[in-house]
Amino acid sequence: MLFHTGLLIILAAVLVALAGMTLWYARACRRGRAEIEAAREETRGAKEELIGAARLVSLGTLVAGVTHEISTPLGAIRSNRDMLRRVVDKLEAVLSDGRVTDDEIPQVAKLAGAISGIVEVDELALERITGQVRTLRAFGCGETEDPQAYDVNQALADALTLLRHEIKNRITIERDLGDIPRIECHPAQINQVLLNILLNACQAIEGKGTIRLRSREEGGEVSVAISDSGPGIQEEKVESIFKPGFTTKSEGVGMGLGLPISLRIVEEHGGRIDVQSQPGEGTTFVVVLPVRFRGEAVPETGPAAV
Amino acid sequence: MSDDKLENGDYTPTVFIVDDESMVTNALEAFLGLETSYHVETFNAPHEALVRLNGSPVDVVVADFLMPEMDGIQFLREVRDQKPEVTRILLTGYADKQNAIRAINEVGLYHYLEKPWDNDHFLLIIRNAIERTKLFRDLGEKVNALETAHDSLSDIRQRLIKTFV
Repeated sequence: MLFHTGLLIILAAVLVALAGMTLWYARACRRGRAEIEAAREETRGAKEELIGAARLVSLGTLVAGVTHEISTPLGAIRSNRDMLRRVVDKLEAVLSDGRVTDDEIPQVAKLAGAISGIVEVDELALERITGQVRTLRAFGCGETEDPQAYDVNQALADALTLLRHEIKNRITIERDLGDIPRIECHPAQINQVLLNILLNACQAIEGKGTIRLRSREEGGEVSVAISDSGPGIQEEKVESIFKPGFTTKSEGVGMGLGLPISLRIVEEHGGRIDVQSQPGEGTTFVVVLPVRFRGEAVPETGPAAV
Repeated sequence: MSDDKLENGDYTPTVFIVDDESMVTNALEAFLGLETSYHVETFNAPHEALVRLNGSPVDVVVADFLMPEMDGIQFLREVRDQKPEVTRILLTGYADKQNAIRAINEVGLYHYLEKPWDNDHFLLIIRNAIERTKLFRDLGEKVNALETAHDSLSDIRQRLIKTFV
C-alpha cells in the first residue's frame, strides 16, 4: 500500500514535471518560430535592398550614357540659338533703313540660308534627344503588378540605343532577330536583365569587337542569345559568375550583382539563363523565357467555348 | 580683326571640320558661314578628310575626339605628318576631357574645344589658328628667302675668290 502511494506520488511528480517541460518547450518553440520569422523578414529586406542597389548601379550607367548622348544635340541646339540671335541682329541692321537695296539681297539670301540650316540641325538634334528620352522612359518604367505582353526584339533595340555611347566607336552589332511573339513578363525587369547582359558584353570587349544578337521562338519559349567577341570566361570561373559579389571587372566598374539578379528575375519568370564560354572564343548568354508568364496557361479572355 | 586683315588680301583661309555627327559639322559650318568668309569643308569620316587634304590648301583642321574609324588624335597626327604647317584643333566631349588633354600634350595640338562649345570662343580659336598658320607659312618663306640669299652670297663669294686669287 505504502509502495503504491509512493509510486503514485512519483508518477504525479513526473507528470507535473512533464507538463512543465512541455509548456516550456512550447513557449521556446513559439519564441524560436518568431525569431526565424524575423530573421527571414530581415533576409528578405536585405535581398530587396541589394536588388535596389544593383538597379541603382545599372541606372547610373544608363544616366551616364544618356547624358553623353544628349550633350551633342544639346550643344548643337545651343549653338543654333546663338546663331539665330546673330541672324536676327544682321537682318535688323539690313532693315534699319526701312528697305532692302539690290546689293543687300545676297546678304539677305545668305541669312535665309543660315536659318534653314539651323532648322535642319535642330530637327536632327531634337529627334536624337526624343529617342533617348523615349527609350529611357521605356527602361525606367515602374513595376507593374501584372505581367504584360512585351516585344523582346524591341527591348533589345532600346537597350542598344541606351548603350550607344559604349558601342558606337568600337563594337559592331550583328542582328539576327527572329519573328518572335510578345511574351508575358514584367517589362522593367526584363529590360534590366537585357541591359545587364549587354553591358557585360560591351565591357568584356577590349578595344574593337562584335556582339551578335539572335532571337528565336521554340516550343512556347523565346530565347535571346547575346554573344560577345571578348576573351571568354575560364572554365573554373563559369560556375561563379551567378554568385553575388563575383566580378572580374576592375574596382568601381561592377558590384558583381548584375548576373545573380538577372538570374533571379529570369527564374521568377519561369525561365533560365544558359552560358557558353570558351577562353579566347568569347561568351554567349542565352536568356530563355516562356511566352506565357511562368509557363502558366492563362485562361482565354475571349468568349467561352461552347 | 586678324581675319579681316587676311580676307582683305586675295587669300581666303580654308577650314576643315571633321566630326562623325553631321549636326556638329553642320552647325559649325553654318556659324562660320554667317560670321566669316572662310572656305569651310566638312567631313563625317576622317579618311575622306585625309584624301581631300592631299592636294588642297588647308589652314586649320578641327576634329572630333571620338569617331568610329579613327580617333581625333590619330587623325590629327596623320594631318601633321602630311601638312606640318596646318594648325590642328581637337573637339572633345566633357567626359573625354582628361584623355584628350593627355593626348594633346603627346601630339602637340594647338588647342582643344570643349563640347558644348561657345560660338564666340570657337571663332576666336579659329581666327588665332589661321593667324598662326599664316605666321608659320611666312616664317617658312622668310627662311627660304634667307637660304636663297645665303646661297647666292656664297656663290658671289666663290666668284670673288676665283677672280682675285
